[in-house]
Amino acid sequence: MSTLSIPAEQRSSALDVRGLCISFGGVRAVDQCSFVVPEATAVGLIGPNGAGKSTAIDLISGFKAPDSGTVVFRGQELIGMKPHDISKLGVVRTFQSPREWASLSVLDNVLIGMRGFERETMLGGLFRTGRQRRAEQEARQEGRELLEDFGLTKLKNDPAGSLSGGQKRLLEFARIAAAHPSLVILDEPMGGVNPVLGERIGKAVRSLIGQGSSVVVVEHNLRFIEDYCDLVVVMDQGAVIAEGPYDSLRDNPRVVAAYLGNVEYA
Amino acid sequence: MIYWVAILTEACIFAIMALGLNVVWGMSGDFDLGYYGYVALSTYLTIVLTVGQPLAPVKYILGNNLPYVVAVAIAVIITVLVATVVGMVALRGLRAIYFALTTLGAVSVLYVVVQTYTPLFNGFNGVAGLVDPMGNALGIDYNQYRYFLLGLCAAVLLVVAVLTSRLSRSPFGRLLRAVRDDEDAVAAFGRSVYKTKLKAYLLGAVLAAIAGGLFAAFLGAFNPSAWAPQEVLTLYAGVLVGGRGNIKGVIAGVLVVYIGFVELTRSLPEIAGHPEFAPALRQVLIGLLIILFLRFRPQGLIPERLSVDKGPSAGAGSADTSYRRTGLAALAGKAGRLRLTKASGGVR
Amino acid sequence: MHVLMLDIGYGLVTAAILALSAVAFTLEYAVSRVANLAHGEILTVGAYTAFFVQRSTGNVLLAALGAAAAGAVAGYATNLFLIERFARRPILVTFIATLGLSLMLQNLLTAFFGASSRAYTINQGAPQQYGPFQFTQAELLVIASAVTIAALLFLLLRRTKFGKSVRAVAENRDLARASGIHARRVIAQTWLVAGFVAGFAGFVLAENVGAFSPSFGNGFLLITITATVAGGLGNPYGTLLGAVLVGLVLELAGAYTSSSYELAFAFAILVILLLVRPNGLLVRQSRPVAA
Repeated sequence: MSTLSIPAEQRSSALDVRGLCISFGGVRAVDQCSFVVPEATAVGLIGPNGAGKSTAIDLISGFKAPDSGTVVFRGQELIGMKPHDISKLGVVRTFQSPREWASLSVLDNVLIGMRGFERETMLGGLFRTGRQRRAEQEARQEGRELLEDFGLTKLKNDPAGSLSGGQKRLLEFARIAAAHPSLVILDEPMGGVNPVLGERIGKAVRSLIGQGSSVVVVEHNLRFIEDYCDLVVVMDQGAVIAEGPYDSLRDNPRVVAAYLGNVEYA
Repeated sequence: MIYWVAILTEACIFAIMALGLNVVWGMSGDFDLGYYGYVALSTYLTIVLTVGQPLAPVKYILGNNLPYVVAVAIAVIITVLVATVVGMVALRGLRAIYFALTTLGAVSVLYVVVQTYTPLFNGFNGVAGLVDPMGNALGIDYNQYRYFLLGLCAAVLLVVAVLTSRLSRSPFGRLLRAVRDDEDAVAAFGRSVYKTKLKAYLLGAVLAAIAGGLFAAFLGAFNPSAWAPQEVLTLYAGVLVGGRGNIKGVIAGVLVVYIGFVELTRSLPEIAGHPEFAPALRQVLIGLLIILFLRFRPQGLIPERLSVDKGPSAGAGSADTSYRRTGLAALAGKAGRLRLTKASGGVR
Repeated sequence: MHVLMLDIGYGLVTAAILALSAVAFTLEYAVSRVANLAHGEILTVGAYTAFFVQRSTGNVLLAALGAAAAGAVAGYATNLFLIERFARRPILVTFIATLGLSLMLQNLLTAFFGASSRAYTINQGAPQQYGPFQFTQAELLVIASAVTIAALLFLLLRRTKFGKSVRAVAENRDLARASGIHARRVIAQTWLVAGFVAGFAGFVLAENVGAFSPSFGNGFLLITITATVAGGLGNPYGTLLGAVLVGLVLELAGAYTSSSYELAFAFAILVILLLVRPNGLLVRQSRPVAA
């Protein structure tokens, strides 16, 4: 793809975050946060605990409203939009713990990920037409194939809540894949994940890039960031203190200072 | 025998209410404490729409002498309108307990207003006069009417059961359960939680109103002593005991709770000077039942069944659609073929 | 103007009773994170106890103490047999369970004592003029006792070791445990204290209104919750403020329309609060985003 042959910093921007601010009870959780996520790029968002990374994610994805700032995704201003509307634009996020729909089957989880909005009408639920039934069957087939890609086929009818932690992470990815997203925001995907699964997740991130999506990864695991991200944004105390390829940050004194004592390598 | 006909009829009506509550709470997860208010409102409206103008000192609104079926239809419409107002306020971003408190407050206010503001439904004395609706039109005599009503209620119950069962197994039903399990994740995947909940809430109100219309035919009269906001707990007990979220379970639960309890309290001795003893004891048992089931068997007697997919597991794509595999096949170690489907609705 | 001041005076009495009930409710919430829908029944139990004690001893003070003691037992038992049993369940489940308990308690009282209201009269004393207000001796005692109990409660929370443990547990139960606090015991004792206050509130409410019934505590519950939400659930200081505000607003609103719509006003206030300021009037809101 042409975009991938351009160096990351020079690609057009998919997500443009500028001047995000929010305070809670007098504390500035996010302070003039600004960074750019280019097209088809994996950007790692790192920083010590309490740096405001997850809050920034909440602001971008619409789960919290900022005091000021703008977020532009492919020309569309996201601030002020509801989370589900932002998601409809192609922005899909995860949460720090796997948020599967526990009482639904694994396949059902993926089917909802597929965003078949037109299939989910209430009237359609009461009086289903032949066309809707066919659409549902096609969706199911795609869902089954997706589960196979992720090695979850045997579990397709199990309640998602009964899966192990690693399996839930895989299901999360299957769900994201089903959504065909343009921008994926992963909130600590490596939380509680063993290195083998971590490698799979890393490869999954690169595959998403290969399709033209952009990915933002919030992570503490710096090895993961080093291996799978093109660019890195460092936050500390609510503000962005550095931005660039991973290697350029290693010697950045501000980054080192912020991380003193907080470094975690897998 | 006649006694059993009445019991079964009332059980059918409660089952319809419970199925409506099952949509709002069982499937969608909204703890609506005001649900019974919609039943009561519809019952009142059906009666005052069917009977004629009030004769002093009785006071109530409407009194249009409409045919029963028309009256029920109008009652349903008005109830849904009220539910829309309440739902739009209560469902917009109120977290679970606050939503429950708001609905409880709403129905408590309704109860007080109905009792106090007599021009509405004649206050504490209530309204009466609905005798054997449709009986004359269909040529059913007084003695046979109760069987007709039982048949009617059972038929409506059957239709409601079939429809809610289809809803439960449909993509919309799947979405409701996802909302119940994790709202934020649903929003993160592009659905409006508020709109989804509102739809479920209104459907629940429709079913409550239909049950109310039948209730009016069954009782013939209605006043505040016939309902209290707490009656909703009997419905919750039924849904909880039977099996939250699944249709057969809810109907079974209502039958167990309602018929079982009626029989139980009937066999209790009459205590002189304490006419409220038996009904009060019944409520005690319902409260106890709720607590015990919540503690020891929250999924109910018949747990909700997952949808089981029996489709082919083989990964061979059908020949006539071009596919693009997302490349995440890296996870399974397979080399990537590309795949795109129409059904997902997304052309990137 | 004169009438307005009188109404404000009545409002203060209502606020005093409300403060007692609401502070107890908020303490329960603070340590157990659950809105106890059976809270009204603690008041009812207090009222019934006071009535029977007074009937057999003729002593108002003993009746008041009896009510408080009964409330303490009721609070302790509620925690032991219900709240703790549901400790590992989602909050909503516990909430529904308290509703079941409320139903049980109200109907147990109905079954044994009958559903009708009973009169509860004690000598109120003649109304005296106090500045622009008019209070009977009994009403003054109500306000005085509310103020005293509130003061004692705050001393308890601020100055004693127990109070510090309560605040620690309310803040973060696991952290409190990690610092060596016996959380379950602290919680049980808090419910004891809250029940004590609520039982007393039941006595006060009954003698102020002049009557009580099995559902009378439950009827007071919505107003209690409104006052608590106004002050911020779990915040005792805010709850006091909430009680004063709600008490005054209700009294004034009821004076200009009919007092039977008191419940409707309380509900309207509650809904507005929940929509606009769910964390209480005192907390600066981070703007919520409705999904």
